Amino acid sequence: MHRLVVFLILLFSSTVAFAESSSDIAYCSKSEECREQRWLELKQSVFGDNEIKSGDGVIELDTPKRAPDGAFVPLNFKTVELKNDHVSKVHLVIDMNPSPYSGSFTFSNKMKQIDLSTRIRLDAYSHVRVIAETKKGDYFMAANFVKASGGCAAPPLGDMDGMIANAGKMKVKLKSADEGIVNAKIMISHPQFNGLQTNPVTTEMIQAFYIEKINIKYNDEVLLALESDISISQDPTFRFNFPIQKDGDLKIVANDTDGKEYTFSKSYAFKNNQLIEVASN
Amino acid sequence: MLFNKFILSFFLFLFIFSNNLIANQITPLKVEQIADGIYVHIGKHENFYEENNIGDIANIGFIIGDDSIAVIDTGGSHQIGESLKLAIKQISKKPIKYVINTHGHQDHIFGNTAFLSEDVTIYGHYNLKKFLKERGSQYVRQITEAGDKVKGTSIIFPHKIIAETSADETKKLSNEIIIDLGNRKLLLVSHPTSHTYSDATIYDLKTKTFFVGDLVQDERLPTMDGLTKEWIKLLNEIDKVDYKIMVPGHGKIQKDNSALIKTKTYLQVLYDDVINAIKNDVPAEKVIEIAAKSEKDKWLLFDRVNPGNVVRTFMRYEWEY
Repeated sequence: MHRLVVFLILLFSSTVAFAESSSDIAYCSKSEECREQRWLELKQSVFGDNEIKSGDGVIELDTPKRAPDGAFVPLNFKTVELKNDHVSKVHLVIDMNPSPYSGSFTFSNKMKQIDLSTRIRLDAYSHVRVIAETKKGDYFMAANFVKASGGCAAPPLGDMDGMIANAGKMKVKLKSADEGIVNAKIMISHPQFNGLQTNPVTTEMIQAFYIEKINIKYNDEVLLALESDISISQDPTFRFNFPIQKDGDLKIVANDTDGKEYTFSKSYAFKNNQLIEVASN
Repeated sequence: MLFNKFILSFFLFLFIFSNNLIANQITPLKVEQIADGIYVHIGKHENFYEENNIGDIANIGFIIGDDSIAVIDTGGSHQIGESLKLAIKQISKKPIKYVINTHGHQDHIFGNTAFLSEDVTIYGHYNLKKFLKERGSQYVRQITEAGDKVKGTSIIFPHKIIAETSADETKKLSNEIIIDLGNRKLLLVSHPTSHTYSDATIYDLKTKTFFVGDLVQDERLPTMDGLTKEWIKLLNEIDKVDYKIMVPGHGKIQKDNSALIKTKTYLQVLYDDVINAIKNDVPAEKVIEIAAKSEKDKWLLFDRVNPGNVVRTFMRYEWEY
């Protein structure tokens, strides 16, 4: 009889243990504790012993609570102007993605209030975190929990050969808003194969092929420098605001993991509080 | 102490055992006769695999000929497939020879496994296999996460494609075929990318009953997983077909084209709103909030389904404007 009791207890505890190891640890789908543990490990490996303070009053993150499509999750962050300091960098961390540290955005110090939107891939229910790093070396974090899944393994949208042929094509829209603030939308055509997708025809895994660096300059000033990983959606698109009140040249350089460099440049004139495209030639 | 443990484990054992009993109890699915020899089960308007849902959300059915039976879609789990099979066996003893899948979404094909014991030929759109391979890892995860309640569910590729091919199978001669259930011919057609890139329809020549899958829906908001504009175009073609009864993928059986018009209207509003937003440079996150909102009151599960439809339409057309 005792043996049976022990057997039942063992049987039960092993089922529980198995359930945890197979699904909970992999995706932490149900356990808050597991998610917290994951973040603590990530925090240590990315930020070391630096203290990360609450982002209240410094950085604000906007994402949907439930992402409509894991391959394309809109994300926006805004920073607030600080006294005697400014946000120079924003780190993006997506806890449950295969490669959680998803990138860093370095901003020009003229940008007092950063406002940037992009789209990310989300592989499972996960916290999405933006960590503002200031010039003085302080860290402030805003985080949202987003329900979405299947983003990283989601098949590419469109015809693969066409996507590869078009890689690096850029589309830029600049719009002047009030007080010399320019609203920029920069689109870079790129399949962003993240090495986790399957070719629908051959069913073989597609080799990783994505944009890892983007540098956006106006005259000699770097407005935004981005180092990114596999979590940025297909056809990376960035919207952000920056202050400009003079004529100049916009230059964008993007580099992908194949060592290819893509460039875009255009001249603008500042007239009547408006930035106007100067026709080339 | 030991006694307590014993009591505890006894109850746990009882609990697990009784749960398994409930899970294994499969009852015949409720079906209604909609035409001579044609039966349909109307799916529930619930979220797939959430709470108690085990995949019963789509309309699935079967057609009985003189010699054999064709099943049209099998539901969203092995369990729903088994329930449908039981319902069929209560009504007819004829052999189930065909399973026809209207497209590759989970709620229509995950019950295929239940019919493998019946010596069936599974038919699907000529792209269905490719579609399922693409979604494979996502589907497997979904099944795994749902756990025991959908035990036995797996992805089954179609055995034959809905298309006529040359003898060496290298050329597609037409996108349609006819199968005969014995004094009853069914016309199966593979359609170009619209709702997905794997949509097929089934037309019963005898009663002019038209199974259109999710190309047309009533009550529950359709999922746009293909090309919005092409879907609208296809609906215009489908509207020209001479049918008496239309079986949509979700919602009530139709005697006229009102569900078709309703689906088309939604898609047109969705498309127009998204294109307008792209032209006016509205950010993606705002487009999700506003596009097709005027259609909200006409549909169930709008807030769950519409955002994804907007995103996929937006992604597809953003570069064109």
